[in-house]
Amino acid sequence: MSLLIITLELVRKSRLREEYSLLWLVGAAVVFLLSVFRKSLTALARLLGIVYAPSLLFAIGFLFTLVILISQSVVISALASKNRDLAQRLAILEWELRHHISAEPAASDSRPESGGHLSRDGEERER
Amino acid sequence: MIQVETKPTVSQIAQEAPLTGRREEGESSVLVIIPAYNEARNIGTVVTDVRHYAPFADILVIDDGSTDSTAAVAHRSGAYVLSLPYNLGIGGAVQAGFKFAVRRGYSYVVRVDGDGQHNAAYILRLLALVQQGKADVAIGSRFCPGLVTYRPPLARRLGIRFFSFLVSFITRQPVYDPTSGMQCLNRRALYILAQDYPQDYPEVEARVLLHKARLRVIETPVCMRPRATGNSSITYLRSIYYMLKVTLATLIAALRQGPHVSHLKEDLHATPTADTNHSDQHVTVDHYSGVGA
Repeated sequence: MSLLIITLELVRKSRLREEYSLLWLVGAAVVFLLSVFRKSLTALARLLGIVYAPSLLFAIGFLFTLVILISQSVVISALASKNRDLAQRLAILEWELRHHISAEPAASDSRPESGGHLSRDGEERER
Repeated sequence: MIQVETKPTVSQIAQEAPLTGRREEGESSVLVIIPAYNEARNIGTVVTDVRHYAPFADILVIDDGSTDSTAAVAHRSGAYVLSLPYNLGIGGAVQAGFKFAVRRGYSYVVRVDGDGQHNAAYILRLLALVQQGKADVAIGSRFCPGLVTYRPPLARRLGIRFFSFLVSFITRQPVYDPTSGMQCLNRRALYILAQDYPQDYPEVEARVLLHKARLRVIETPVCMRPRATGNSSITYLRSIYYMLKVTLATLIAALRQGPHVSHLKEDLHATPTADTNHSDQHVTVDHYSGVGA
C-alpha cells in the first residue's frame, strides 16, 4: 500500500518518469489487491496448486521485482550506448570546431550534413 | 546509397559501402589512429615513429580521457588529437577514431597502440596488403605459424590461445592472433566497425563481426616490442573478468544478426562522404575490380 503511494508521489513530483513507474504501479497494485481480497488469493492459490496461499503473494512480488530489474538493465544498457555515442560525437565535433577556426578552412567537409543530421536525430527521438 | 526497405544483412551493407572515401585534393587518404590512455611518456615517440615510417599519413591520437598530459604531448608532436570527455575504454576510443575516419572521408585506417609496442615499420606492409585489395583488413599477428616473434607471459598466452581457438571455431578459419591491436582497415571494414564496435578487448569480437560481414581478413607476422614505459592496463583479476565477458560477447556476436540497421541508416546519411549530394564534387567513388568476396 505504502509502496503504491510512494510510487505515485514520485511520479507526481516528476522524480520518476511515467514509463518506468508503470511496472512498479502494476506490481504494487496486484500485491495490494490480492492481500486485501483474501478469498481471491486463496482461490488463485488453489487453482495453481499452491498449498500455502500467502506464498503466492511472495511469488508474485518476486516475479514483479525480477521483471523490473531486467527492464532497468535494458534501460541502463541503452543509456550507456547512447552515452558512448554522445561522447564520441562530442569529441569529433570539438575537433572540427577547433580545426575549422584555426588551420584549414578548406577542409570543411561537413557543412550541410551536420544540420540535416541534427534534425534526423530529432526524428529518431520522436519515434 | 542504400535504400533500406527490407533489412539488409551486414555483409550486404559492407559490400555496398563505397570503397574510397571522399577527400579533397592533396589530402591524405590514410589515417593512423593511436588510442592512448595516460601514455604521456610514450605517445610522443609513437607519433614520431609513425610519422617517420608513414610520412604521407595523417595521425590521430585519441586521448581516452587521460588524466596526464597525453593530449598536450600528442598535440605538440604534431598529431591530430581527439579528446574524449571521459574514459570510454579501448573499444570506445578506437570506435571514435573509426567514426572520425568515416566522417572525414579517409579510405584506409591503420591502428597502432599508444604504448609503443607496435613497430611502426610494419604500417607500410599492412597498408600495402589492403591497398592492393588482398584483404579488407590486415592484422599484424604475433603468432603466425613458424614465426614466433613475441612471447607474452604464460597466462596471457593461454588466454590468447583460447580466444584464437574460439574465433577459429566460429569463423571456421585459422585465426592466430585474435587480440592484436595492430590493424589496417579499408573503408568497408571501417564502415562496419564504426557502427558497431565492442568495448573491452574489442579485437576478438570484431573478428567475428568482420567475418559476418564477409570481409576478408589476413594476418601478417610482425615483431612486437615490450612496453617502453608504464604499465599495461590489464591486471590478473580483471583479465579473468574480461575473459568471461569477451567470450560471452563473442558468442553472442556470432548468434546476432548484425548491427542495428536504424543506426546504420542514420550514420550513412551523416557521413559527408555519402556521395549522392556531392555531385558537384570532382572526386568519384571508384570500386576497383578484383575486390568483393
